[in-house]
Amino acid sequence: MKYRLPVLALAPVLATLLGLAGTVTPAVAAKPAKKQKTMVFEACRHGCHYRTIQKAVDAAGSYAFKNKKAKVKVAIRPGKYVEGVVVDGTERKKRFDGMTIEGTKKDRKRTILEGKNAKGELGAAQNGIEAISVDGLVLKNMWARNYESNGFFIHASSEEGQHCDGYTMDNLLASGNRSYGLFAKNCYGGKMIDSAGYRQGDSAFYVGETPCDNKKWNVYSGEACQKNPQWTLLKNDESYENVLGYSGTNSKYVRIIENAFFNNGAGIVPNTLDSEGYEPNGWNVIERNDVFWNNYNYFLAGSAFHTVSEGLGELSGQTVNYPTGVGIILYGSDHNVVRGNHVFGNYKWGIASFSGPGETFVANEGNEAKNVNNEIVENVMGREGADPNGEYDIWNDDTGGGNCWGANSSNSTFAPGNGKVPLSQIYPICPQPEIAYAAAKSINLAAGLQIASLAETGNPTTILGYAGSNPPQNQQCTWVKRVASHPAFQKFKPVEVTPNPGEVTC
Amino acid sequence: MLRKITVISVVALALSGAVATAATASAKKPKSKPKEVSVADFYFGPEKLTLKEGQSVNWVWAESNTYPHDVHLKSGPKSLKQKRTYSTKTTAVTNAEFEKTFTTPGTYKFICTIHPTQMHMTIVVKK
Repeated sequence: MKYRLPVLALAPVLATLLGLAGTVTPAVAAKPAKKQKTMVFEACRHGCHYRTIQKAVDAAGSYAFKNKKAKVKVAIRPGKYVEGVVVDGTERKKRFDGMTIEGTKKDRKRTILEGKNAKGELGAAQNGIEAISVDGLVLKNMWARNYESNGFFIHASSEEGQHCDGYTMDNLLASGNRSYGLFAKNCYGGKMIDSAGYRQGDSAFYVGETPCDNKKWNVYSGEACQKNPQWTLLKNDESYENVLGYSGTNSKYVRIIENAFFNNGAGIVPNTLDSEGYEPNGWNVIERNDVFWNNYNYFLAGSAFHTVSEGLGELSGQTVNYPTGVGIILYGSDHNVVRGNHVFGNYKWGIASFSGPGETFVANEGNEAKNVNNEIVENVMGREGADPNGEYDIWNDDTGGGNCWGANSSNSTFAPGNGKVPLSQIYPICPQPEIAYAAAKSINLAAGLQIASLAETGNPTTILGYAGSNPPQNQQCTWVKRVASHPAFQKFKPVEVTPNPGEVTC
Repeated sequence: MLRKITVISVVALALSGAVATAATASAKKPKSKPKEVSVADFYFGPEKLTLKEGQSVNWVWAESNTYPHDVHLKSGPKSLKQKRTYSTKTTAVTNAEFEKTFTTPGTYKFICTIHPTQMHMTIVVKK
């Protein structure tokens, strides 16, 4: 075992020197003959054949193209790499499908992809690693920080017939990136596991624009988006001090289980927006997560990062931002299951659900941001009173239909609105009959939870009034702190932003 | 080391030659300023451009962007060579530019592959 590293390091060099580009050098000599062998391309700052990750990736891609059956791995030795790596699956005479790019297993912080002063094709390097149209890519054991766009970004254009299916992002860390930390878009299935992200201008974890088998699919058809769903798994991740812990614009078939989302503006936010294809988000499972202390008011001057989010859209010329102080938000969600989560210490709401009002305000073109057929069940709210959520544990705007609530903590609090609609109608118990998408309404004034009236859109007791607060940092005016300080929870510490004098004007 | 110096010398000579050629060419005909196209959430601005053969376009990513975009040549003149060089290899959110000179007359259609239904533009290059 102790001789393994030098052998691996020399393998590609020897192959090149001996003109054996077509020969697969086994990485592990003891492997059975029938198993696929792995060719390792090592990158390090000093003493390796490849001094940048990009060079090692390109060499590995060329090798894999010539040796169709070979598995290839780029092993990055500890160090700081000031570059933006591009893994371009559309490039000729290269093959990146199934490639592994990995850093230091013992400590992901020892393999750093640094965005500060890094240069790329278009000026500043945009991403730590950007993979375009690559299937089965594995990224492991690295830290990407301070990039102009994202830490790790895997995507494909289905319009161009591209794929990025079955990726793995494992033991990654992303911090200080302008938009997203771990970012996958338009892929059929993947994994984001054992990873962490902090101080991103949008979310630390993002799964967006999940494609459908049928390119002509739309939510009104009543058909399945994917006949045999390819699931994406987020498990054992930590997300903190971001605008959003998780964002999933038009995401589908995502299992978000057993993660910790804390100290963000909001924790877990599957959402529907016109900006991405395949609206809406839906058929996701959010289960057994710890979602707590999401009270980071990033609109304040003292925030450690700046938001780049355009929020939910505009209403009467006013930006409607994402609500802060909220644990889990379902925005325009269809058939999501929120089950068995521990949600506590969020100053506004624990779990909120609402639609994008497409009918009257055209917040969503095509009216595809209705909240329908979701289940919010068996969640444990406020640590049974020890660390309550602020205004309410559970909040719903009474739009859409087919949604249900059941077996959440017995002492959970529910937002009643103006009192004209009974709670049992705003929060029907499970199960409920499914509602057809066309039959659901994305606007409902009756309960006074979405907006107070068509003329009064700025009332902060409604979702559109609260999220549309002007200035936005005033959202915290209606936060409710029910305990003087949060009781200790595992290894975590609460982080909040202190306003400057006069910065919040309630 | 000696070999390296030789290579550098050759490159330097070649470069000086190239500079001299470029200087001669620019003396004949001043190079026009590239036309600027904004790459923004979720549009190219302008969406239509007409150029003379030899003119350039500089795509500039807007500072206010939240989402990543690229510039991708969807279709171009049949006689166009090196089509791939008319597309960016990567996406960018902001702080990015991409310049390209158009020497083949015809119609070029570009999209952003990330937002193909919203972002498209046409460039017509005339003789």
